Amino acid sequence: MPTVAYTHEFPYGYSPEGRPFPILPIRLLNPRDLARSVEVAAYLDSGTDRSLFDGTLTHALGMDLPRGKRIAFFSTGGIGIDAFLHRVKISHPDLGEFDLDIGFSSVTLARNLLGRDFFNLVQVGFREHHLVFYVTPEP
Amino acid sequence: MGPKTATARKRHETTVSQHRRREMEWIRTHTDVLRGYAREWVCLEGEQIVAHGRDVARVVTSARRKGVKVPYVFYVEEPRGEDVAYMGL
Repeated sequence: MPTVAYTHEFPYGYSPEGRPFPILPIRLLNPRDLARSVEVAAYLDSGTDRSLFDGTLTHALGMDLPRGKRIAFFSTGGIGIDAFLHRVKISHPDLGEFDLDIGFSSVTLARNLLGRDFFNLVQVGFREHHLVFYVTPEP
Repeated sequence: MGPKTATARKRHETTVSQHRRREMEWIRTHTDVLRGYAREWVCLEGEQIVAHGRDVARVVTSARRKGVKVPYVFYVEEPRGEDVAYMGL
């Protein structure tokens, strides 16, 4: 059986309502203007194909939201959210830097989601009962 | 314990991340305060709200003007109560 030795442990964060979630604070950087970066609370979501962030964050990064390739995200209930793909750098002081094509939504999102495209770059493990998750920054 | 064993053990040490711990802890313990910021973006630096508002770009600009190099922002949802479960989308 494969054994993963995780390098980093992260206690769950809490939503503003007070619920525990696997939240990773990550820095988003515009690859064309690295000085314009912003750090956001990103919720790890293994049920999401591709990462999806609030579209207005592109304004904070100096990017033009509708210039990205259009993509639709569908939930299990069939509700769709239109978004635009943009290549960004994401970084975390403990995990390093990653390039990722993230969907930025055309509507307000309550939670920014890091999906399986991010999980493809790292290894993630959850101990839900203990409210901690683990990450090793390699696939 | 030989040197090889010590090296192997060291390689498997897990570090508990401290990044943004102060902000995370503040959010956990101040849900009552955050209720007043529902439907807004909040920029938190340590235990201090440095900017907030409906437009995240303006919030970030305001925080940068106040000297925050990398603003940490999050959205405050309308509280929905106990009988609600959340899914990603």
